[in-house]
Amino acid sequence: MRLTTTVNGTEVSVEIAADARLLDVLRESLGLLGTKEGCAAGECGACTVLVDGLAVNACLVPAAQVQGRGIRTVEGLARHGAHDALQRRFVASGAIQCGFCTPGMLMSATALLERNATPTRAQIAEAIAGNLCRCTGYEAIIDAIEAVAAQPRPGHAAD
Amino acid sequence: MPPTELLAPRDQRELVAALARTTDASRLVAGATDWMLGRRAGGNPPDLLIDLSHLHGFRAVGCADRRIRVGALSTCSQLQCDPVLATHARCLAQAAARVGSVQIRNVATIGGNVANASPCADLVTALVALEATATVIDGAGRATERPIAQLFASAGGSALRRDEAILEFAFAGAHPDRRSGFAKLGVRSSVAVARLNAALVVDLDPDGATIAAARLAIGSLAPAAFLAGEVAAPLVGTRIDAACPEEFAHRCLRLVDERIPERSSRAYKRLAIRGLAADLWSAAGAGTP
Repeated sequence: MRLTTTVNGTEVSVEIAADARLLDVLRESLGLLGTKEGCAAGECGACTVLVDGLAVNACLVPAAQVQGRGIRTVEGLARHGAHDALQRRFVASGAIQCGFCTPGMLMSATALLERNATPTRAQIAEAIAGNLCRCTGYEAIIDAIEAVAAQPRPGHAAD
Repeated sequence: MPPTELLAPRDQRELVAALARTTDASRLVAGATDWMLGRRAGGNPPDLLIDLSHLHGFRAVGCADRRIRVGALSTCSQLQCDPVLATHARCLAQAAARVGSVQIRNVATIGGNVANASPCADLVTALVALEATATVIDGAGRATERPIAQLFASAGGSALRRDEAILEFAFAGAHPDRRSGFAKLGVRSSVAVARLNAALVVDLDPDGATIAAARLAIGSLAPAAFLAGEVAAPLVGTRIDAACPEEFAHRCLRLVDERIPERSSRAYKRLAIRGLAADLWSAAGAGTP
């Protein structure tokens, strides 16, 4: 079947199998390797992307379900080659070690901040509860998200 | 093996036409999270995949004629924030909030949670406590309303036929002083399959302190969630006082002893259910006359 959707603001059209995973379409058909495959079971959140602004596990979403919808991946956060505020703060706060969980963390945090510009630490923790990090622990990550929430933030590329 | 054919009905007429084409090798999906997990186990792909996620009209919560109606395609994220449920069926909103992670709740639907028929399905437990019914449509276009318990086979799994899809759930919701809550025990606080879950619905007399009706549903203790009348019935007529939660927890413990006397998890669950009962009583707000 033909899948036509918008990815990071650009309309794309690819041929997919009816039961293809969104994760595979992003990585293999579209070459967007920022979205990681971790557990492939919806537990680690490394594959988190936004569909119409909502965080989802790309490993659990049939690609056919995003027909006509707007997808945002970690590649869509940077603007004009520059990292966005969350990405910069993750680096500055030491919220990254191996980096494997980082794209998913960033996308969960992005979804949160777009709906709730001033989350509490508990709300941040809840928002990233589906994202596992096995390097840093979560304090630095929550610190980074909290710090960005406290400052004005420019908009992102449209879905 | 021929490739899987995909049908994505957009209205009830297209849905019925799609259901009429199903075989034993066909699958229906809504949020599709459980199906995508199942794919990892291998096996043959379905001959026909019916994707319900594009179906219009079955993703809202409403209240009419003293009944709450919940569209089968309502996602857990919707339900956990729904104001009607927050007022009339808090146990269902709380159960939705405990399903998986944000990412899973954004796509997983109440219809899918029921149709998948896992013994530990969180929303099923809440629906059983609410004595919900489900409207089911088949490939001949016949719509029937069934008690939620009839959607599960006695030996476990779904009792839905291959050509049936759930359209909505309904339950009574107009009691003036209803307290309800949901509690769950898993190996993690989030993204955990329930080792035990429970939902409690309590209707109070006009005095606000005497229990007029009570229903307790327990999940993960049998092939499907069930109403534990032996625990809930003694609550009726009881005036809520400080002793109530402890007596309730003790009856829950006896329930575990009676229901799973031989199961290896009994020792763990009989200990755990005391804490779960305390959480449940608190979640339902039943301890504050």
